[in-house]
Amino acid sequence: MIRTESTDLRTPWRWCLLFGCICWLAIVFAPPFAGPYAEVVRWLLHTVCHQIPERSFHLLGEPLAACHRCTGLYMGFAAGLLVWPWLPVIAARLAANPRWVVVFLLPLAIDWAIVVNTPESRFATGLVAAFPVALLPLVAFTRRIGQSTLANK
Amino acid sequence: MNSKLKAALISGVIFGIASGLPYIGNVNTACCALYIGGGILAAYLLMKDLPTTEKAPYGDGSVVGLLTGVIGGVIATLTLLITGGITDQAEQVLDSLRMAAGQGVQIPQAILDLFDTSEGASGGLILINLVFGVVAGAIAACIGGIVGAAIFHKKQAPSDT
Repeated sequence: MIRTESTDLRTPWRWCLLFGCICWLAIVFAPPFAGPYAEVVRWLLHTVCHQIPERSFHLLGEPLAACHRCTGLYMGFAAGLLVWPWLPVIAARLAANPRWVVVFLLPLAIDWAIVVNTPESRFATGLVAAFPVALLPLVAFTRRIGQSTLANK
Repeated sequence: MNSKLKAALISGVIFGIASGLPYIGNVNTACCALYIGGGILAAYLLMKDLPTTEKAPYGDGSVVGLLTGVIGGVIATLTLLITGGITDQAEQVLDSLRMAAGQGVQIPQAILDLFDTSEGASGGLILINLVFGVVAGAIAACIGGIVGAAIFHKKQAPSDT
């Protein structure tokens, strides 16, 4: 008998997390729209990303404030917050075996370690790495407000 | 001392100093790797003394990670002040602002003064560095703490009752 945690992840707190993610992504995407202050916006994130222009997406000819991989991580996390509540079966299985999130970090580690990687691979591996991690704070919030119940399946 | 605070202090001081040091601090530019690592270490230090649980204690992991990020952010800013690292990137920003001003764009003098590090880092620059260091550190270390809780919690064998 497999015991899984049945969780209703549609906690209102996820909107707070999502709002935070959108604010963060707004900073990432702001430089093309910031005119002469583009460098100031990029400076805000200089401690969390190398921001090498050749390794960043460009919008309107201006590099974003985060590299391909970081952009993938941020977008993957935000996508996870949106999508996990609609995947209850997979979410319950991953929540029951949370160590599996490490497996999703492996493609990113391999892509980082190999010399020849592409913008697409950097972005995609970041997306894949952060997507399952978003489940963990959702489960934490759900437990916190007492919506979590154990069910035998 | 509270076990969470103890774990956060150890991890926050180690990774805060590392984040402020030249070269080693650059590891943070790989998606906040030092802060995430700090959160994971803090979660490990906390989990090793906790009894087995049926569910991963994400709440404890997130709190200890958050504390680590806040402590680490403050320590990193202090270390950057000592090593002078706070002024490096500001000069690049000031150059771009001066270039824009040279092309006729009106840049407020207060913003130019903020990034002017000819007489050392301004109070505003230090404050913004501190706020962003603490916020980014807290977010990254909190995520690290949750992931650390998922990895290092001692799982209780499930009972079929």
